[in-house]
Amino acid sequence: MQILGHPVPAESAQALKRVGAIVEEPRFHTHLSGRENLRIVAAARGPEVRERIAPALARVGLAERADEKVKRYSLGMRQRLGVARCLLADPLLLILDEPTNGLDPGGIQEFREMIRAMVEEEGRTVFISSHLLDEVEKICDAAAIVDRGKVVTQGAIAELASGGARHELIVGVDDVERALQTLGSSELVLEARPADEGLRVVLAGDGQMAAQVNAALVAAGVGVMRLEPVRHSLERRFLEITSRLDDHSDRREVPA
Amino acid sequence: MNATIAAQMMGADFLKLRKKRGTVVWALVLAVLPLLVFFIVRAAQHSSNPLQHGPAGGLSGYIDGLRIVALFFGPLAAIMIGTDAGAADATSGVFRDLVVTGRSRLALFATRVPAALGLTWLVMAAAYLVLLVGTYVFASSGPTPSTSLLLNGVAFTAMTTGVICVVAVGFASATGSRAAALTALIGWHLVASPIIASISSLGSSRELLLSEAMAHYSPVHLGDRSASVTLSGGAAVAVLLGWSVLFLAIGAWRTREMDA
Repeated sequence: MQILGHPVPAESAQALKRVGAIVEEPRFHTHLSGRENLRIVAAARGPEVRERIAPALARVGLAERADEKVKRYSLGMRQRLGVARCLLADPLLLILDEPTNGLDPGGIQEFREMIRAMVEEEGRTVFISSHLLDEVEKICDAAAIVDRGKVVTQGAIAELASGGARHELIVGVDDVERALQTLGSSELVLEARPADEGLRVVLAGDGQMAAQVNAALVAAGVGVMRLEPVRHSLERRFLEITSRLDDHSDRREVPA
Repeated sequence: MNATIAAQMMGADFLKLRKKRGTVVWALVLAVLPLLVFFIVRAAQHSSNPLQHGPAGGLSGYIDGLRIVALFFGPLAAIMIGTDAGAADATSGVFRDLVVTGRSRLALFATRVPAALGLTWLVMAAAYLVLLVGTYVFASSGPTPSTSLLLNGVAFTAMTTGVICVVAVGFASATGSRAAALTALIGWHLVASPIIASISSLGSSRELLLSEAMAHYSPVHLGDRSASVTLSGGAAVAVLLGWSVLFLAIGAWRTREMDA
């Protein structure tokens, strides 16, 4: 296994020089201030790292409270201080384990923006391990689903969520029977079935066909009140992949 | 690891210790308060009955005070500081974050020792200063200790508290629990060690006791120690080094092997 081009564990020290990590919740010497906690780690990393303390604190929005003792910090502030500690390594790779656990909605939003900025503005790679698939979907560009210790699938979030396959529509109509007859004989549609929302329609092609489906229904005299692409969630896709929709008793480890 | 990084890491470890107000205050209280009480009580006794009670200070006050500082309460302060230094990273959960810096675990362990010694000796310097002040302020017209005795007293105090501090760092690093290490070492120092030393049937095996080896180098008479063993200088050095090296090795090994 290699990290940043260095084989580990043979060259762990070299590999870890540009890696920052928070595993579970970040821990600190709570009797020290945020700045002093960073000094402890900077000392172990090397003399040049001390100069990164102030920028790292500023980067995570803790500059003004850096001299307060960590025991007075909220969980969100500790998470941010944990990221600041990671930034001391000027990391090419940042590994975060369940980074939004315990944060309030405002804290989650701030954290999300900070992570995205690190990727988009600073060019860092951020690797997040999380069971909160909705959060993964919002933060990440790509994901891998691990089930029972093995990567079962990976790829871009949108592709993963959709399963890379079918485009579906929810169609609200005034006459379900006639709509089913119309779509049943259409080459535009692979499958159409009644659902709570009206019809659930699987398109034969990509999402662009939605307009043609609409036109066909209207031409057949069916009133269309709603036409909406089905949004596939990573969570649903995960449950499908791991066959857990019908298996609630078998709890497994699910980092994504 | 070069000298700059080593100095920075020692500074960081020292920062962790000196900012722990509870540890510093209690170490100071343990090292200084008994001396203050000793001098105040002796001064009161002397002023109430000068014929029966000699001056609180002077040579005799210094000798008794040195025993208090170097053999009883000073080592307790050293144990407090040493156990804190040894277990702080593990108990706070920061050890993992230090490991992921890529710095060797042995280096992380090694820098705890000078930091703990530095704080211990600072506290002992304060206690020794109180001892000197008491010795001369309450000397009356009696004899005072010679300069060589004072210097030997400094060295003796530094040696006893230093060795115990090193043992405490190693032991606490090995246990990963400050409370456990603190309890065990105080129990050993205050209870088990004196009891074992007094059991004459144990014979020369008592030479292995740290307290006996330390007592060998005392510059002052330690009172009635008829039941105690007498070590040669070489044996005392071997015992002191043995305890220090053994506990440093255990602490280093555990730091290297423990889960981060």
